[in-house]
Amino acid sequence: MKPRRILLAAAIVFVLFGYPGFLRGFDELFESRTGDITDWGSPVFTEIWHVLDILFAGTAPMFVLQGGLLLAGSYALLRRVVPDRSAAWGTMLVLLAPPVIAATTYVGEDALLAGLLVTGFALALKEARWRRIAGVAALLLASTMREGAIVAVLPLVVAVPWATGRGRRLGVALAVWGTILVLGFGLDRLVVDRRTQRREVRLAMVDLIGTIANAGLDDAALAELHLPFAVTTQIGARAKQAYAKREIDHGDHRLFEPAADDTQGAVIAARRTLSRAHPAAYFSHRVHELAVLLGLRRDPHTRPVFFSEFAPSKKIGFAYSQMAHHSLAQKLLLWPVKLLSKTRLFRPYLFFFLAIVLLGIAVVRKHGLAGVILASGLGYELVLGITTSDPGYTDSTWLMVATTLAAFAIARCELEARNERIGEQAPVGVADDDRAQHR
Amino acid sequence: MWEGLSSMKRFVRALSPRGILGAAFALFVIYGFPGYMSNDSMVQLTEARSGHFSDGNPPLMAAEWWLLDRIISGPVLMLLLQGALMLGGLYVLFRRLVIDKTAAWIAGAIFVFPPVMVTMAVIWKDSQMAAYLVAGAAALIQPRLRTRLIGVALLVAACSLRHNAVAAVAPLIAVLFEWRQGMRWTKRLAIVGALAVVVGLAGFGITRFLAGKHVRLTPMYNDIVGVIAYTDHRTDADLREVLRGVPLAIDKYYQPQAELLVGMNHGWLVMNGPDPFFVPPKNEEQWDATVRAWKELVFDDPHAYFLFHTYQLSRLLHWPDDDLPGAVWNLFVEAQEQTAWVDHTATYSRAQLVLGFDLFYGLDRNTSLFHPWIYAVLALLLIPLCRTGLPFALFTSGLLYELSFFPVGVEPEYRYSHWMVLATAIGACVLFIQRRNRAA
Repeated sequence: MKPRRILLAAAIVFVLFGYPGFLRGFDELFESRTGDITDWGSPVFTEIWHVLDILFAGTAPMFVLQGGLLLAGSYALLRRVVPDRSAAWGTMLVLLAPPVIAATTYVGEDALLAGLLVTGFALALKEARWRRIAGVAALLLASTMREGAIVAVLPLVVAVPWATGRGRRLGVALAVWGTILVLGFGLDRLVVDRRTQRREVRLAMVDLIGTIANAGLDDAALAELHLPFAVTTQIGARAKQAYAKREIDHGDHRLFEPAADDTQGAVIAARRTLSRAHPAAYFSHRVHELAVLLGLRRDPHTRPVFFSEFAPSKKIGFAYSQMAHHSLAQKLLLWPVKLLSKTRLFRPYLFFFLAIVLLGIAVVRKHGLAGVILASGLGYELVLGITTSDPGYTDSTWLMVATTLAAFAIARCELEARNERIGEQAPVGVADDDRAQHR
Repeated sequence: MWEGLSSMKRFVRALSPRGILGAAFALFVIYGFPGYMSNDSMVQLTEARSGHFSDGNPPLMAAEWWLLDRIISGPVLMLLLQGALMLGGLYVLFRRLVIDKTAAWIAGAIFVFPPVMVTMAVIWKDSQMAAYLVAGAAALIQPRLRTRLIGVALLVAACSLRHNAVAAVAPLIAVLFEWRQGMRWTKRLAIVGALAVVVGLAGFGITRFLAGKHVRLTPMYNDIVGVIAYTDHRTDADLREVLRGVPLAIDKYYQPQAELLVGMNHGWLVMNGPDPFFVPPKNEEQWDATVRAWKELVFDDPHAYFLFHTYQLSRLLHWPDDDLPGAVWNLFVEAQEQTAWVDHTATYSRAQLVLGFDLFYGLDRNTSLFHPWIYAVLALLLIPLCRTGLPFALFTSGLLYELSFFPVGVEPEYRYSHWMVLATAIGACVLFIQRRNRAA
């Protein structure tokens, strides 16, 4: 099969599986339509969606963009280390591997982040100047998708041969990375129409509950923080309950009242104060969050893999004019993935530990490209352990994409090297044709 | 600025046929994505989902949708199918006359011509029929017999999409189809005549084969009201005698009520409005009585029948400037509650708002671009200039199809004239190319 046909087949299956794209929340879709962009999600992501809405409305254009970037980027990267046909098969694996497709068919920042990272890296590695500029632009957009995404960009930027000489190359790379960092921050600010600090407050509340639950503080000490607690006595005990049930500022066991404009600042400041005062408790809480993120701990409130009929509920779908129905082909494709989603294959820790092992192999066996991608995936996942407030399966999308991509590249290169070694060790007098026949 | 313009010109000139067709198709998809639907489309989709087809709408289309909905749910694949069939058909047709690039430009231009594109973006039997007719006509003029026979199959499909599509298909087969070149005209005529009959029957056969449920649709009720409205004065007692056994909703003032209903220009109101003339028939006796009453009224006063149907045809052609429904249909679902039936809805992109509501609605309101009578007149004027079969076949196909609505007397909608508009546009281009080639 020709590479183009393999890629086309992969794209068709991807579209059949997920078209017009699964959706968990409607905030960003709503904002993309109104053009009134807040900082609830990634403002740049919403802005991109707003631009796509010029030509096509709904989730379909974003779904196609995410999938298209992932396909094109993965193929371009793999072509650098393996023959075209193998690269196409590898791309198919990245696109259609059940744990990956379950995450990348979600319309959201995580899937677009993965697509932008692979495409941006592939373009930045090109010789032509305009392609490099496009690559840096893609990496810049990627850095604005999630908190901590800039960490994922760092290894990729460092791996690009910007200049000759190790020192100069590293210097230019760090300069480029710094520029991406600053521009990304600026772009984020520029695009937001209404700043609400909702994400920061949510993260602060989660960290406060986690730290209070682990530190065992008394009511008097907590009262000094002037936080909008839902109870006035036995705050520590309530924090443990709320932490276990993940009821932060809603529900019967909530610790906090929803933050108002005048209490937001206090909540964010208290997070800093408390985490510095009780680093062990904060660290313990963050380790717990990372474990939940990686699927090492079963948290009943983790956002799992789920395949709704494209919208969280019919009521919401109706209200937002975004409804679709699973076709028979989709049901058939979803069925095995749903079954597999209950197995360990769908636990991100599998990819995390595999990535660590592969990184070791990549360093020892000098698989530069794979090593860089793995470092990016692992670094980002570790940062997510600090920055995520509601761990979910799709958070690990980049780790899973990076690991699958690198695993294929390493396996294919190792296989080729082994075949070459066998070829070299063949007894003298054996003709090439015989060898080929023997293989 | 001039440099920018000239570089743009260079870019446009450098476009390959594939690029030109791709751009035209992209514009179509941008305007129509994921496919507009009306009540008719919704009934088709519901039948496609259930797998039980009736002949109230073409079961072939429901069967197509049954298959496509199982691949990707909703109207999007139907939109892509009818669009690709139409654009592909246009390109193949013009490739027989001009070089590839010119063929692509002409095909693209006709495809995105607003009176053509607005109907093609809706999932209707009319759009599908037009697509099959164009693809069929394009295949009929190819040199290989196998391709020409595929063209015949496409025309069979077109025939099964509308009962009166035979009127559009007959001139295409009669003029364009050749079993073998250089045949004697008597032999050719015999083959073509037989083929036209076979195609028409096959179209009906497909409908019979696929439809599990028969839906009785008849223009008789509208005819009765129309003839009563147009005939000379008749008393209630007289009409009561004629209409005995017919399921009536009223028992007096028959003629004033009929005149009122015809004057309201809405065929549905005859049976479904607030003051209907009839109630739906419940048994065979009532159907038989309706047939008898229709025959008595029509054969007693054929002039009234003729006047009524002439008026209806003139409305179909948009000749009188009355309250005809707009030519542009761009709703994703016709009624909100239908969203829940089929789990489908969508919203407009900004391009769709500009193209649909600003541009096309504006053209429809303020210009005569969507008035079918202009295309009918144009076709009639151009027919005498035809020196070859292709433009003649296209013009007559469009005109005969339009005339076939005369006995049917449907409630006029622009989509019914879509094939005539399209056939005239294609025929005019073909004629222009042929005359230009001859002059060169």
